[in-house]
Amino acid sequence: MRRYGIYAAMLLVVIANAVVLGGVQYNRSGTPEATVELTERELHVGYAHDENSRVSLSLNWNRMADRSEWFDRKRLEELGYDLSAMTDADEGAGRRYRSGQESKAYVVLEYDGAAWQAWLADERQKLEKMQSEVESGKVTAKTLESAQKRLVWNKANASRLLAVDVGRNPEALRQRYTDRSRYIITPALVRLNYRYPVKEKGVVKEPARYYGSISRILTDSIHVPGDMQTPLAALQKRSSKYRSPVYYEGAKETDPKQSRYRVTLVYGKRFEPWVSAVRMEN
Amino acid sequence: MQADAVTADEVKRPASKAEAQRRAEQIRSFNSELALLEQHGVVRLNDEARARIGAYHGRVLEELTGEFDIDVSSAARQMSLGMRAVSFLGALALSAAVFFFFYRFWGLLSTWGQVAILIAAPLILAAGAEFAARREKTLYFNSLISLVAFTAFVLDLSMLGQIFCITPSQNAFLVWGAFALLLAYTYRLKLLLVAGISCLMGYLAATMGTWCGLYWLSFGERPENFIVAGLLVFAAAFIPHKIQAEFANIYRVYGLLAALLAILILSHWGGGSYLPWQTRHIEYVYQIAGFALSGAAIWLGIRRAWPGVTNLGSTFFVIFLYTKLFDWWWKWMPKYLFFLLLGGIAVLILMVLKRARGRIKEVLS
Repeated sequence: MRRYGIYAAMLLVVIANAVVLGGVQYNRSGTPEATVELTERELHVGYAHDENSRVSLSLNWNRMADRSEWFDRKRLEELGYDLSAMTDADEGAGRRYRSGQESKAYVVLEYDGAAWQAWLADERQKLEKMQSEVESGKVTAKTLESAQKRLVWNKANASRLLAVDVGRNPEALRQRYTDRSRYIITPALVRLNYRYPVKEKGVVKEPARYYGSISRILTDSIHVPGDMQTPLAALQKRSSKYRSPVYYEGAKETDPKQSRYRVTLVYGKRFEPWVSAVRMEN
Repeated sequence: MQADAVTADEVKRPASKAEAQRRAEQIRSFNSELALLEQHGVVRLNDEARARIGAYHGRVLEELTGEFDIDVSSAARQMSLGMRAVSFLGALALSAAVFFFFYRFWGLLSTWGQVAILIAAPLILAAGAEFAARREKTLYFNSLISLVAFTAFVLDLSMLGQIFCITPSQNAFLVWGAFALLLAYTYRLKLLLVAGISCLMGYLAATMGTWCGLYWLSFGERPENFIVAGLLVFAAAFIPHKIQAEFANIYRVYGLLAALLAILILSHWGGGSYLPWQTRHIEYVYQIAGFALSGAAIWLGIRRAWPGVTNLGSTFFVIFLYTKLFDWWWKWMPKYLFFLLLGGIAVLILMVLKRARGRIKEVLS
């Protein structure tokens, strides 16, 4: 052991690194799985830090616009959640469905597509309804003004990357979403949400509800290689100057901003992304 | 007197530094006791016998010092303890330095420059550990460099994951654990053994979590994963440890500690269990399991003369008992009576443990 142990340890380091780099090579070989050009709205540049010289981009998918109506019982069952035994009378259902709640799946993210347009149309419709409610006195003018500002801000600044589907099999998802410049398929954590039935004096008023949601994208922090870092490094902000990427009441900076860069993001055979180009906007 | 017939070579060679140190302590105790016996006139050795014993012990100590660099005096032993502490603190500081150094400058390097540094660092440090081991018998520098090599390997795989945006996997724990164990067994390093066992326990707990439908990173949400991992580590102590016999105790105590801690958590937080029962019932089950396992640990520790296991079992038995008494009596009993009862129970436990101590002494003798 004394003689060979250290050589075995060194061999292990070499093999582990070879396996990791082999996987990277495999991911980047052949035709990319997807190639999407995204803007600052979808890829936020990380914060500058004295102790960390890295420049990274975080993938910002629009949770605000995520209604997840499509993430229904059928999808949950396709993902392997067994919902057959759940009834409103079942007291232990909530507990039982908690176990194994979060699991890995593949999520389809649509960039600037029908889901984004549908959300905008929905928001406009809500605003119109609100206008009529102001006239009837149900809603104040201030609330309406705030909602109008929010919509203007979201139209110009919010991420146009929306989750539109989920599944266990990424190849099957790609057959459904064939446009590789608009649809990203990426590994993510999904969760089963359970809402207990509403009962009144033992009578079920509202049945139990269960629906899926996306907890997080597993590869949402994207490293920017050294040769592309310089322009983005200049845009990095200190955390003390943090500006929320979503509109909020009382925000000082509510004006729409022009996206300052475009990034070409490529997804490989293992659905792992890398930055292939960074283009600054004039 | 048969001292002529016995040479240092014929005495069983110690398998480890700890065993060699015990042998040196034995010689020192013998000389102290002999001096006392002579002082009280119980026995008196003639000059020839004294010279033979002295010469024999001198040879033994010389050989042990030459091979294991043991401490032959209590002052040297104290110094060694200090050096071990300094070596540990130095290793921690250097590991932090490696981490922060890389983070500080990696943005200035090209991707392949980063990869080359990350791969080379653990290899160079492992070679450095071997070099240090060949130069010194005490292995203080070797221990320090080995721990930094382990840190560099952890940094290597985790940073490659970040650079290439690799989907995280629990397999990294398996590889880190194997690396730490290889270094620990090669150089008899207990600290790296603990690091290796921790990584393997993380791997086992995460793998069990995935078998039960969890994503591997959520393995901490279910303490039962650690009960299985802890018991597996405990079972690993039964694999014959011919070379590093002292490692078996670390497997036993660490494995049992993980299992008992997980049971303690579940005995108060049934919601964290996989079991599809009511939370209250799950907590009862784990309270009983906690008493049973800590009681079994005390019994096994006494029977096999494993003081570490006995002490751990006793500590957890008291914790389980006190938390249960708190649940039962704290609200309705006057505080003075509650603490009086705790004190009384402590006395009772002391009496039981005193008997157990006597039993251990019998077994050891």
